[in-house]
Amino acid sequence: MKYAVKTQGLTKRYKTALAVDDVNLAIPEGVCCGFLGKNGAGKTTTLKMLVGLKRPTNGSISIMGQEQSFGTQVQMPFGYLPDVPSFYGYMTGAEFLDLCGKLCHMPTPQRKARVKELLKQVGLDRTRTRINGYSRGMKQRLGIAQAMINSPPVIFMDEPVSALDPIGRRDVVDIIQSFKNTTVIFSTHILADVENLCDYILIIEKGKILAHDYMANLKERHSQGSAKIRFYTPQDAATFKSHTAQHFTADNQANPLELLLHSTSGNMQELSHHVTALLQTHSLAMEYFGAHTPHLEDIFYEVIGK
Amino acid sequence: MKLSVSKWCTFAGKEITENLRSKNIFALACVFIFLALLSVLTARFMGEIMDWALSIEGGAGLMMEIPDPVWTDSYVQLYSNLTSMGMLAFVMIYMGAILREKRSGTIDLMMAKGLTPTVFVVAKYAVAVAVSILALVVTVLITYVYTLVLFEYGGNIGHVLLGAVPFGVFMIMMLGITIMWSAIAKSTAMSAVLGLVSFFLFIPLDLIPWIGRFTPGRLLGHGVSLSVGVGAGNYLGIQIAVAIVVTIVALWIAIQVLRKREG
Repeated sequence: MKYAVKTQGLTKRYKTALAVDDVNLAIPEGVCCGFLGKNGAGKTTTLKMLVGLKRPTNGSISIMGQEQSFGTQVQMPFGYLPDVPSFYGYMTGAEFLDLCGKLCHMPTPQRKARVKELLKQVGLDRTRTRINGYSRGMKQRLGIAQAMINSPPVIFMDEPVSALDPIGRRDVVDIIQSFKNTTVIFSTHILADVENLCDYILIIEKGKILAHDYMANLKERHSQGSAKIRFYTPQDAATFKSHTAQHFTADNQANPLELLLHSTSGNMQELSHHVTALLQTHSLAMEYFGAHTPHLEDIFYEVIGK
Repeated sequence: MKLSVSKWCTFAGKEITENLRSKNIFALACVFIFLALLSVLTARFMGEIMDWALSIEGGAGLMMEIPDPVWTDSYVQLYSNLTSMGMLAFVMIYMGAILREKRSGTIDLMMAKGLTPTVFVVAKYAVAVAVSILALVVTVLITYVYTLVLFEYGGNIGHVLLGAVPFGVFMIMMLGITIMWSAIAKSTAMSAVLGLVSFFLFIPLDLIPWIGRFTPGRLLGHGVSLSVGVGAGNYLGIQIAVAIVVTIVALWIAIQVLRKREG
């Protein structure tokens, strides 16, 4: 498997705190990776080390197979969108993208065409005002465009949607969804966006990576031994719950007809047998019984232990 | 190396655009043209101004002997004004050069595109120097022409331009120091105060026995003597060399501050 980003023992230590602790990553090429963690967990520090804005205390970084050496890179194999992107307000969006293209050493004809194409892609092609007059959402879209200017194989985004209103957020999500053949790594607090967009998940807590895997694998791992059952009446659900004992536990759900079951052995087949036996013993009728697929939010809370 | 030069040119181009659009160049041009005109007018009409001042209430009875104005007075006034108001204008305009980018975060976007702290600082400094030298030359030429008009003689143009060199060297040293404080300071006010304190520190340094003659502050005194065709003494070369060393050290510190900020 080819990896877009690999780190070995990546560590960032400040005078009084360990911000990132021995992080070993291997993010496959072409995935959309959601980087999750609480405030202060180490997401921004990790991203800044990956893009060369912070010097790691220890460890190595490789992007698209190219070892990154802090402070010496002049050609970056990635794009970067900071959490609050700032621009030169006296420029127009096209001028700013042109400046970024020049810094990436793009030849003039290619650069001009790319600027036009990107402005259209992020919906700023009809905007003639200088960046000073842009809304926050427009600035975020321009930020994404500058990160994509030289068509990098990897794009890092730090909280690209957190500060936006619902429409601005939807616009940015649509743009991220439109990326083709690009590895996208973005940090966010909005788990629903990650669930919709991402196929790979990183969870960081207190500077340590607690989970990194494909979303499908995480969901499968965290669904083992869990099932959902739905009854026709709330009374049946209550009776069923009152008789669950040593083999599985049952938690109430928002819907009073539903229960979430967890096998104590983690074995789905065993759980199924016990449920069938209990239903027959108490003559309870159920409408639905099936494996429970957890939401990303459930996995996140479980992983960070909340 | 080739890529760094290309990035330097690109970023310097952006700095020129910024100077033009933020009206820095025009602000500096206005201040300096005003100083040029003011210097010659003050020199030419100092006698009349003093007579008028003494004639108003409270000044009656006072007598003051004022010599007839001569063309060299224009340059005395010019360098006096440049040293005070001109230097203040430089510090005010460039005190936020790096600080603004640090605070807004634009520096992060630029660095993520492979711009190094060295390229960043040197490009900013070079454009500030170019703009300032342009402003100084225009000011000196306006002073020369206006002196020619009001005094019917403005001196030797070669000497007049040569007279601007020591002040120009001091000015580019101060720009380096201002850029350094702009990289270090946490606020624009702090950057301005540190820039002005640095400037005023060079004046008492002149007074230190023996060492004083080598300090860059002495450069401010050579403008008039060189403009009127008198020499600048034996230590001009050393003073320029010290100013250059101070400038290089200031820029090096600015670069290290940005590097440390990354770490």
